[in-house]
Amino acid sequence: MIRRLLLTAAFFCTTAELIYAQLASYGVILDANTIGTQLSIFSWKPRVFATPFPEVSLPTSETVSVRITPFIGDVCQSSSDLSDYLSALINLAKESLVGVDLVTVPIYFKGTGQLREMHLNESQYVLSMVRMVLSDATFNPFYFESNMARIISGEEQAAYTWAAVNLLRNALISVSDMYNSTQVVVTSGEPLVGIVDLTPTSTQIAFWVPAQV
Amino acid sequence: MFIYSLAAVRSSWRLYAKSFLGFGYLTMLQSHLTASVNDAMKIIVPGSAQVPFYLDYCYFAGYAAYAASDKYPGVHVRLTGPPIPAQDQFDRCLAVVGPLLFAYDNSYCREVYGDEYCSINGAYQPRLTSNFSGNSFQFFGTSSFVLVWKILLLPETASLIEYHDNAEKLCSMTFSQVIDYYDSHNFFSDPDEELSVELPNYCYLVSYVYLLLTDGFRFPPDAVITVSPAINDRTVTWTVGAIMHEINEFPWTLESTGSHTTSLHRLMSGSLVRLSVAFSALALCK
Repeated sequence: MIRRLLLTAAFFCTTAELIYAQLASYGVILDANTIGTQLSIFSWKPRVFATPFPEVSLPTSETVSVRITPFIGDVCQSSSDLSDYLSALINLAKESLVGVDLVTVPIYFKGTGQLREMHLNESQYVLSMVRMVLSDATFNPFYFESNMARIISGEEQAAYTWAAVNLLRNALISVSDMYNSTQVVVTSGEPLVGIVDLTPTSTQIAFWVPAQV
Repeated sequence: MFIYSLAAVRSSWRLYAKSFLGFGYLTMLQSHLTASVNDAMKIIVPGSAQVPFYLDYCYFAGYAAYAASDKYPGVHVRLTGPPIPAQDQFDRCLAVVGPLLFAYDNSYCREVYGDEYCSINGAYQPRLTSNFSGNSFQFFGTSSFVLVWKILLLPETASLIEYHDNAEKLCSMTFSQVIDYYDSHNFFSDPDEELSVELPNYCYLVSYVYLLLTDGFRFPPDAVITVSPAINDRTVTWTVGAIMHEINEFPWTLESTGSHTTSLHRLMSGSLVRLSVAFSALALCK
């Protein structure tokens, strides 16, 4: 009996680890902005590390980046309208990840400016429809939970843009800011830059600051 | 203030990050047009058959368009640029747009922090810095800054002095000159449709962005900004930063000699990814 339990546990263990190994390969983001919804597929190295403190994992490539129009808030009259709208992106993501176990690939829906600008009831309605549609496994084969569909704050958008710019400039990871210490270590790489961002509905600014001000 | 953190607190950066909803270039254009319509209607005699019009220095000489405001349903006001370009048309457009950018009173912020620490909408903003040298800064413009840089035909890295000079020249053109000028630069065949769509609003757009950077975000007039749609051949988009954040919230495994994994750890408690089935299996394993 104990042997059987151990065998079962070993089976689950291996399966779970495989899921994790695969999970850390691809991820999908749907960026719902003013103009439309943009699909981006990212990949990264599996998160298997040799030391107990993991290194920072970086997205190594963006394999697909496609946008459909119009703004998602204009196509949410019914779940079938929304399914029709999103199906082009979901199908493209599926075609781009042939051979990958899609249930291990997380899909995020992140709304920005126009959704933030809508009346709360309306934006929450859009969000609930998106959650409903993406939770349907017959429509969306990717890994999804309802909290993976969000309207992000403008400050998050600013910080993500800052991180993206500095990552792509090879400035982010080479620099370590021990924020509880007065010591700052710059090992190599490009200097950090601040960002200013402008969209049809909002503007963002983000930059590193040397101390609590 | 924002702590941007990856892999728990091994790598973290203290950021000032601020967003201003309603201060995008289209929402501000709409505010500008509405304000123009409302101003025009103040001088119209009620019941008059006259078509209301308004001289808008953010429109090029020779251009006119109709605009409406919710305050005056059914009324369309003719907004026109001047008959001939004004020498100081850029400054005149800045003067029109400025009050919209600072519609919110900054006096409380000034009282508390001092003028140099206030940006727009009454918001506090620390002194501009970007890297560890403390006093210097480099900034990168993304999204629609690319559109503005294209309109002003600026190099990827340009100073606000160059920006100002090119914007002055642009706003002092007639509308037909603008069309010819951009046709000669192949703007109408550019895949970015916004370049064509926004053509009549170019002077407004470059004026608003100049004000936003200088009076709003407090960039000095000689600041240098780099703007590009891509870095090292990769498109610049906030989603790259977002996925990086998500990835580093994922569980990870520890490699060991002879087998792929020996243990599984979960990083931060706030992880957005929850694989309950897998975790249950792991609970059985350990």
